[in-house]
Amino acid sequence: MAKTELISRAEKRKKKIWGTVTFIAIIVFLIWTLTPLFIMVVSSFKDLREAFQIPQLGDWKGVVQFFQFSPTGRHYKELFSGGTDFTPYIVNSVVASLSASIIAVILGSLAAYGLARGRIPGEQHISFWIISCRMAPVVAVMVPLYSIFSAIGLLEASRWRNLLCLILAYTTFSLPFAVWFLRSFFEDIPTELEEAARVDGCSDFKAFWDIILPLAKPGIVAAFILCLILSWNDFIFASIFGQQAAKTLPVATAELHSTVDIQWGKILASGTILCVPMLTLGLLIKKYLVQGLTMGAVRQ
Amino acid sequence: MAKVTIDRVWKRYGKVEAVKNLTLECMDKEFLCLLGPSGCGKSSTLRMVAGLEAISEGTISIGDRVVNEVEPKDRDVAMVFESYALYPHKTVFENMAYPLRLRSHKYSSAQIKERVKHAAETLEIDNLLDRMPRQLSGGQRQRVAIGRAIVREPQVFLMDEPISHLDAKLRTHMRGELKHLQKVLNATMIYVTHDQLEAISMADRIAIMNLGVLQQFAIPDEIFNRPVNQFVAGFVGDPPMNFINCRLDVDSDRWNLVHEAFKISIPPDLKGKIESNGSRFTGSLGVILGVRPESFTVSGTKTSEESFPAEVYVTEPQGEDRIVDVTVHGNKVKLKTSIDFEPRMGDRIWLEVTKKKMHLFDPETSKAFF
Amino acid sequence: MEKIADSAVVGEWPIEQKTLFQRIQGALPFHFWLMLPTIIVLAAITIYPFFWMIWLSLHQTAMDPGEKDVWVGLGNYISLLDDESFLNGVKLLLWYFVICLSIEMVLGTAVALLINGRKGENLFIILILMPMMVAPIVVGYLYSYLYNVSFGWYFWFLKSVGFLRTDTILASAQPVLGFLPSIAFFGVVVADVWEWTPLIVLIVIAGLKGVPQDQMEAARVDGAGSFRLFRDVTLPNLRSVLLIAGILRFMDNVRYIDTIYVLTKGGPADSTKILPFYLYNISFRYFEFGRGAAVGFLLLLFIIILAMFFVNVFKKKEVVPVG
Repeated sequence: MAKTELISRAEKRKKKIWGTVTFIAIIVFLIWTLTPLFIMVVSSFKDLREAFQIPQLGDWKGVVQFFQFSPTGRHYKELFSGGTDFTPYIVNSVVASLSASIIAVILGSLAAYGLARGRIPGEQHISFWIISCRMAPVVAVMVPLYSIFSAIGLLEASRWRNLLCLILAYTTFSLPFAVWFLRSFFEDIPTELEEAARVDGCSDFKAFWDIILPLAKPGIVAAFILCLILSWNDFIFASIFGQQAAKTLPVATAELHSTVDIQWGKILASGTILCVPMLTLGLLIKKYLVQGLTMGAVRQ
Repeated sequence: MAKVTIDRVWKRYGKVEAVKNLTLECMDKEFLCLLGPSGCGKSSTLRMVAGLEAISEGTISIGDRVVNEVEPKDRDVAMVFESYALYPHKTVFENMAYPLRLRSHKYSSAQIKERVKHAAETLEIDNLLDRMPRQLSGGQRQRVAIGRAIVREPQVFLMDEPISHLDAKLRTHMRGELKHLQKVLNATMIYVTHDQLEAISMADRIAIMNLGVLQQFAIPDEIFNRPVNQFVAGFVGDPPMNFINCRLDVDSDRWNLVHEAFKISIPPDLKGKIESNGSRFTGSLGVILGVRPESFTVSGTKTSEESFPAEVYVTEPQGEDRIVDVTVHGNKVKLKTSIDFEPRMGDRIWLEVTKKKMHLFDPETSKAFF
Repeated sequence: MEKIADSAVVGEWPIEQKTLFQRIQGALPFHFWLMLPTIIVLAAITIYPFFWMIWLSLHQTAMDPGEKDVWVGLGNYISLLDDESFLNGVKLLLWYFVICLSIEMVLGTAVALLINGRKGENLFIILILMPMMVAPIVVGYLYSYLYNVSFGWYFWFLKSVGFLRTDTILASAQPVLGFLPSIAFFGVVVADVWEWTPLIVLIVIAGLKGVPQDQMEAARVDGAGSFRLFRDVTLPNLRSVLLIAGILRFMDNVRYIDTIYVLTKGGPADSTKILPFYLYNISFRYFEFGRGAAVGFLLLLFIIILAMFFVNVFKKKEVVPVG
């Protein structure tokens, strides 16, 4: 009796030690993950002089300096005042991302449903084509697109032209993404529901509209938000296709980083503004993140 | 209500022929059961009647109307699915009202409410009308699915294994309920199942299918007592019929079934039946003897000339009956006896075949000789 | 049994004749019509540019508007073989995705194993997913800030710990351990690892939850300890998920150059000029669209072939894929 007690006690202790070790490991990882963001957000509220203050090399106690500052909203105010008001850039970002996402989700759900259900000729080829859109490197896609857009005149200096250009560019990656993502959602809905609806009296389309769409709503919302995040975060497309007239927030942020003068304060503030909405949205669709980012290949 | 006529219908999925040359007619107000193992084509047939599958060849008519090209929504049929297919985002009331709402030109809001309530009361789910499907048990969901079908008063009811996912006790209960419901509604019903007990107990007529081909189409009694082939004989009945290979020795007027373990003489009336079927025999030929477990006389001692011995393999008590597995010269045979008969493993017991309940099958064609 | 003609009216059910429109509609499945608008749009913005890209790659594009493009056949492609920058870009790209992927997969899987099933798992996940939502360009600026020699906390930390010998991160072209890419290169790698390891963590956690419990229980009853459980039950079931995570990460890893653009712009001494960045330079700094298209085409080919290769290797192992 005593022997088994001893063994289990040793086992328990081993488990506890292991448990604590793993917990510490997780905490370390969390710190590593959150620190940069934390630094960015906090520093955006610091006067530049204070932001630039780091301790001497090796002076560990000096870390406290990070927290010694008087918070100021100066940089944020500067973003929206004076010669460089960021409001139009934010508007451009919002308009371009929203439009592209709406188009992507509307067209995408129709196509995803078709792919999920229909025995369409060439289904395999279409699937491959859609997934290969994800494989195309942004920079490679941009070359012919630039050529084409310039030929149609979308690159001329006009806000709405450049915006349209951006929206189209964003759609090139949002639409395939939406199709692939939503396909897995539609596949998860049992076909018997449409069959029951058709026997009950629905036409094909009415069955889709009345029965399937409401059930796919969470997926559609998630797809919309993910497209939004992808478009909003984009820099490369915007830097080339937005030109001057439809400058988006990421591009404007990059311009704060000129060779002459790097306006760190405004950069950090702008970066925070770029991140925060997306962080919140990301949290909202947390449930569908994995499904979304693996394009439906892994279900949660 | 109307009759359903299936005329020389084929269903092909690419090269696979799921339904082959099926001809069947379900009379008005009849409870017709499509019975068979998985893959026999019964579900495909039902779905073709519903309009959910295209008909490769042949015609299907509801009433006098050929419906091959008609959309499901215009066929005036109602279907209960195996998985119930309730709309998860609608309440029970809305699920049942939906088919009526789709035809809102025919029914006013008040009428819809009236019909749904009436159907719900019939199925005893009127207290669940505000619930969502996910809050219901399997049995309740199934009744909602049935309710959704009956509110419309369609010409034909189609049921695809509606009770196969319920637990055994509920299934037993629902068999009676469904049969009663069909009679009360005076409904034409086509019911698909793989459970022979459901078919035998509920149907007016059974169409038993295998591998896409219709095997026999008759009333339950006929299917059970006069199966046309080995498949039907073995499919219906629990425990299933025993099949024993033996030889039929034709010796002028005396016909005998010969096996290592036994020799059974064929009574003259049976002989008459075989011959009247057109079979002419000479000499000795291989046949398959079919005897249902309950068609043996079992005893601890040799009771007659034609009794033969068997060794007990295992016994399974089943309430008032007992299933005894025995071996007869290497053949495994199942018997159904009274619970009071209690042989032990390894015991030798004596069997006699009830000749009135014998079946003989041709080993090459599997067809019954009579 | 007589068949009544289609156009007869029997009882109360008139049998509808199909209009021409309905016939066309009925000829193709309903779902096809649903997909049509999307297919048209997608074809316009992906297939058409694809062929345009190939066309471009076979020409030398004119610098001045008004001048015509010159056909050079495979000239662009051939000239790449001599181009040191191109070859350097390829080499660096290979280093880049191999190093990034290895670290992210191993680290991500390890963290997922630690977090999965734990108390507070939900909270951990919420905290962890933050880097993924950050725009790559912001990541660039963030790390630019953190690596800064004068006021960068990461620089300070690495120097204080003694891990960093040189006086700069982003301006250091010094190869690590003699043969690996430069310190600046690893600076970029760290940024990528930071941003995307959480994605691997999330995917693997989802995959872990998909490991059939009954297999685990059967193995436990058979007497398997933790390590064997992992190796014999968890890993085989995770294989498909890991493969998907790997392929996806690979695709994204070589797609984005935002971070490099901000952090190093390809420098120092071209030590972070991975192929996509080289491509960007040629196309939008020097406006040599022809060559850019050629590189782009090769890059696309490379990605597709590699992805297909891994999927095939995987398929041969005969594990049921997820989804």
